[in-house]
Amino acid sequence: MTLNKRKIMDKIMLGIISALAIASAIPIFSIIINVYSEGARHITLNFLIDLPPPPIGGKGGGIGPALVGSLILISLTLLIGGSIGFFTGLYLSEFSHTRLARYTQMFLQIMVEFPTIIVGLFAYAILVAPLKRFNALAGAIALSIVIIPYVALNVREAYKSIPYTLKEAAFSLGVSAPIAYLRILLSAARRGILTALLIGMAKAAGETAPLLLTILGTTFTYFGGIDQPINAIPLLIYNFALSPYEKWHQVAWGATAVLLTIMLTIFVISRLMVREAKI
Amino acid sequence: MKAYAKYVAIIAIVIVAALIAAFMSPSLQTSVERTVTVTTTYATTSPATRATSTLSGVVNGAGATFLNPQMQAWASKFYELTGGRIQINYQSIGSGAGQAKFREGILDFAGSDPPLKLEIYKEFKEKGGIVQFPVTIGTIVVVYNIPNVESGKLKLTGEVIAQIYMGEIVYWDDPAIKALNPELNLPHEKIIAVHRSDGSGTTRVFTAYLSKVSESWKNKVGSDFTVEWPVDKLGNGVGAKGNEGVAAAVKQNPYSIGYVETAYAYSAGLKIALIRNRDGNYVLPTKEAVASAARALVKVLPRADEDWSHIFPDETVDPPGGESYPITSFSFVILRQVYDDPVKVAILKDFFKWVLTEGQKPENIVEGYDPLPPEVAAIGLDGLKLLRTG
Amino acid sequence: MISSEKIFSIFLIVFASTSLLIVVGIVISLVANSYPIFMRDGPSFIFKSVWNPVKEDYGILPALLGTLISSAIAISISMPLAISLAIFSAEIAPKSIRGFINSISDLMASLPSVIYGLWGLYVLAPILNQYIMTPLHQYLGFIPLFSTKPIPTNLFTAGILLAIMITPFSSSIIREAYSAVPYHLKEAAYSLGMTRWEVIRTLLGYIRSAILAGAFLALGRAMGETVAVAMVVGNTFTLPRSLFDMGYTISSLIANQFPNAEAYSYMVPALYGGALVLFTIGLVINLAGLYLIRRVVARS
Repeated sequence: MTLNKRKIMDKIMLGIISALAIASAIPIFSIIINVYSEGARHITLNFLIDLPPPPIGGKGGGIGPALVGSLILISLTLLIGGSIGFFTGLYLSEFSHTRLARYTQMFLQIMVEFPTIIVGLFAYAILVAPLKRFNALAGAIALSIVIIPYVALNVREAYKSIPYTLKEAAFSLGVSAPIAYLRILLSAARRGILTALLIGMAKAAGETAPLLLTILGTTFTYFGGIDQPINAIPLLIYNFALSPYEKWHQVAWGATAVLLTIMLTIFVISRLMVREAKI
Repeated sequence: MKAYAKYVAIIAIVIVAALIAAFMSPSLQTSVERTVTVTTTYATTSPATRATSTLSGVVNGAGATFLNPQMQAWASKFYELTGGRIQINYQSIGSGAGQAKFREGILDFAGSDPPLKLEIYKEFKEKGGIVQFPVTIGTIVVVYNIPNVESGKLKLTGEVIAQIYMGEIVYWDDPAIKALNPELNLPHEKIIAVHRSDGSGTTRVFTAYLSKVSESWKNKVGSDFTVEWPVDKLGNGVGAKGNEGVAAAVKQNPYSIGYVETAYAYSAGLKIALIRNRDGNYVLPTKEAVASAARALVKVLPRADEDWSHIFPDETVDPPGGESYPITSFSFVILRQVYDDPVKVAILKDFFKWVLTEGQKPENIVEGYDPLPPEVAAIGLDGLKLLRTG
Repeated sequence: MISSEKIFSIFLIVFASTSLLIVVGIVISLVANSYPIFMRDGPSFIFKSVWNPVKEDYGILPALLGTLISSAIAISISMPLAISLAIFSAEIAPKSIRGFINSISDLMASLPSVIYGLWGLYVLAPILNQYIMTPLHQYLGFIPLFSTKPIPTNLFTAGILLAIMITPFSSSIIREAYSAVPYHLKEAAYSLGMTRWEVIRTLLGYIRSAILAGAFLALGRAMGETVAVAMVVGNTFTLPRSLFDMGYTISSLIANQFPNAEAYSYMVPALYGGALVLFTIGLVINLAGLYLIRRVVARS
């Protein structure tokens, strides 16, 4: 090929690559724009607190029970899944030579790509069926299973990236292992750990499939107990969007705007934290 | 250290605030304050009595999608009347799902278009039994999209509809359809037969009607929440999700036919077919036609604690009566007779009593639904007396 | 006296083994619950196409095909996009906006699938229907792929939505591998007089296995996706004859049918059977991807 032809080819291909790259980013902008243009107008304080409207007629219009339910589920999930993930990650980092660690690492990477509906099936089998009730705990357990691999792998990275000199110094102080890891080295790894928890929080707020089979959802009840059904924002969006009622479609858009705002907030916070990481 | 601490603090405050909000919410307060004064009166259901009763709690039911708007309206009204003390949570997951979860004992009550399946009914007989009763009337209409034929002009019989869905009648100008509609100019176009793709009580009732009027349908296809539609194999069938999916599909596809609950036909602006009833008259589901059908049915309906699966919908579709609309069905509520929580028993009795009496008054009926004649409501009122703690 | 060290390591071991227990527990649950249908029908359950609860006859072939078809569409459209995005970020974009582009990519990866589903249902599906599916059907309808009259929610829409969702995953893997290529290789290529595009092409060849790894992982993700797909795929149990048919994927079948499955005798095992098939396929693809990544890491 002549030089000119190659130069033209160069320009064309770079153009195509750039176009495709920009094309792949268009959806996210479209999503943000559409969600806010359809949903933002519904967001008022009442919308966040009130009961949902009936499909036809009636008054009111809010996502109160779903919002409270989501917050409770997130807290439970971080408690259960976050702590399991944290200690698993710590183990993987500091005991990486053991066989258990190697297997666990592999299993965690498998868990990351689990179809989440299967996690929901599992939670249904071990908690909903025996208790004979849809319950919040089953939802929290299902969400925990989803976030454990993310939290564990990130915590592992956090601890692994502590310079060896720091670790040596911590142990040379003569304190016991728990104190070394959990008091001293924790603050060295804090950014990574916090990132891990934020990722867990984001997943717990947005995942739907684990909740489909486990929590049922509620209309009036904000929180009846962890052994009772509960509602959650992604579940509400799923149900209302697929329903045939126009009023519920509007509520779904509003709820999506709320969820998107939560996600963006978590995302921005975690970005800011990473940027500050200059060791 | 300072920077990240700020973020952690924010997150922690949000979580704590949420938990506080949750615990402050009315539902939690009332379920903590639950009193076990089960002395509610059944005779009067005036708001005054309701306000002085201290009954409060949460009940979880789920099931039929058709019943959903009406049930939500009732639950909403009752919530208001009780000052927020009684919360009836109903999720529309489908009749089949409602019965499935009810069978596993996971729901307090189920909503279902068809009554409880026989095998589930038998299972509960050993565990204290069930009560099931109609709470509202639903009608299914056949809708069509033929460009130059207006609504209420196309006449069909049950046999013809069955043949269409069996793929035996393929074109709109088939002699069988023409014979019923000599004055219409029917086009030579293939009939696109739209049906439900999800498990549906509407399908159950519709196919029950087809089974009753067509022996061939009964043998080849039968009746259930989901069936294998013969017309699919010929490539002229379309599956759509939910009543609204079928309505949308018929609206978008010229020369199609479908079946939906009446409210959806009206809200989508679809053309409705006249169907020949048992007495030979072509009827639309007007209030009179529905009431006539319901009155005809009362004579054969069982008690609330009995099995309805052999009667309903298979025997009750296509009822007698000069004005009766053929595809009339009830929507049911299914309850256990025995609950281990006396408060729940009281709440269920209270709520459904209200539904069967006050709830049937015009101001509490949602558009598109029909109230029960008092004789039919009485079935439920009798059945509720059987609820007990155990 | 047991040292606090010992207690601590036991403590950690307990937590670490929960992951193992969970995975094992899930596999056991899938096998135990699907046992009845495999006992009754054998492997034919996977390869026949029927969903007849009246006769308790179940066969998940349409759902399996739906999963495969939508994932195939997704990966074939996603890979060029992912590679382009990776190269654009690593090579073409000015350094100042590189961080921004990567953030956008990460945001796309972390967006909840229900938001994708809602957008897909109300924005993407109508657009695809109007501008792509209907014209293709009108003009090229004789090709079997396009032979069904399109309805907005179908396998094609699901495939495109999946493509959009999985692109950031493979993109970040490819981008990292690309940036990790030793600089002297790039230098050598330029010094031979290659144009920018030719250099990129060479490096892409160098990071072949990373691209493959990214593809496998993205494919695994596409197969397991439930909610976004359930909202746009049409949820109809028919054997797909063209791209524009409505269909099911295994995960959306489970999501739709499980709630009413206990009303029947064999539907629960049938759905668990589908879950087991999905899990197995996903596992194989996933492990292939992990193996390839390990080779990439080992090389650098």
